[in-house]
Amino acid sequence: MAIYKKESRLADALRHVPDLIPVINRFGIRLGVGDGSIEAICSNHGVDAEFFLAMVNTFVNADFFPEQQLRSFSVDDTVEYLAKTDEYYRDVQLPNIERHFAILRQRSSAENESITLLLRFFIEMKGELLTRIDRDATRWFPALRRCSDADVSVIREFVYETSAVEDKLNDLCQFFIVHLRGAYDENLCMAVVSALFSLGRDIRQNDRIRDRILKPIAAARLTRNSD
Amino acid sequence: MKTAVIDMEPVRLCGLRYIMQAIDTDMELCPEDADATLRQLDRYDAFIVSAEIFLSHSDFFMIRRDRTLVMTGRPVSSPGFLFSGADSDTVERALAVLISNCRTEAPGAALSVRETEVLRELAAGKSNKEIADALAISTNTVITHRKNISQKLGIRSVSGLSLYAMLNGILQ
Repeated sequence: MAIYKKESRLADALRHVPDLIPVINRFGIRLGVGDGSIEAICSNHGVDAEFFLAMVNTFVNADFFPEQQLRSFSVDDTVEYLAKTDEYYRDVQLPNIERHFAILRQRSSAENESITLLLRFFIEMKGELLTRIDRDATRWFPALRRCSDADVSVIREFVYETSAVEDKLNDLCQFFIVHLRGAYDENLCMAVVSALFSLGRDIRQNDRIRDRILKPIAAARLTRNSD
Repeated sequence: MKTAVIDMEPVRLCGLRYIMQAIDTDMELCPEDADATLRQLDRYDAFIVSAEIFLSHSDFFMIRRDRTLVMTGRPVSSPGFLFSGADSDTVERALAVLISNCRTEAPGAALSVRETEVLRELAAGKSNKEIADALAISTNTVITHRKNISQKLGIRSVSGLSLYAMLNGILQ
């Protein structure tokens, strides 16, 4: 069910779900949103309100994913949204987590090897995510936008790509919540875990859009090209 | 996991015991005194019974169908049945499913000895086939054990499982 509508106040949505702040940033909307409705604020920023609401509602409600509506949006808009999401992970979220994680390790007891191993696991996952982000930016997204005959092999590559990032992020959270042991700084640990959960939520939505919207559209184009 | 094995001839019972030990050393076959076992069915987690016993105690076994394996005199392709003349791979697969059904549980439950062995091999980088060969079990049984391990630990990726093994001294 879509929780927010055009007439909903954007400020209310942000109060209820602060994790939405980076999502609205991807549309060029910054904090200090005022009291306006989602429709009014989108109009002021030249943003398609239907697309904006689709991204906000699928982010907020994991059970809400109107595939038909989402596939009706242009590939360019969807790719642009995912590209902005990638930039956010690369430039903001991953460095932020790594910074706090490194300090957490420094402040944990020398005998607590688990934090060191978890940091190493995070860096491995970060590497995989950055590789995917790089491929999005330099190969896949440009090919999806152009969608010419010359892009067929790259688009096929995108359609068949798989990623273990979401699983590894889940595992990292699981390690902190269930399997962590030894002495560690609790405040820093909470900061790292909160940031990991935020990233996980964002990546889950990102992956749903990639796998259930963009890839089927790309696969359909491959089929049309081969006819 | 306590398994009641009722009404089976001694030679078949020996073979079954051998295969069950190979799959999971935590399993325990109960005494083959059918009457004594039938009087205490509630004590057991899983059941391997002849078709006759199943039918004569159907009230009890039907509601525990996923934890009951019925031995038949003819090949039957439906799940929950095992032909008494089946080859060892088929027997192993059927037993692995029985174990898995009894253990869809408790995330957080401790790993069994066999699951720990599988985890050690997995963390060392072995494929399902290599693990199966190393532990003398089938690939399907390895896959079942992996699912149970992931469910119990809440860890999905292979590198996550390897990390768990390292943190807990399972992998040196």
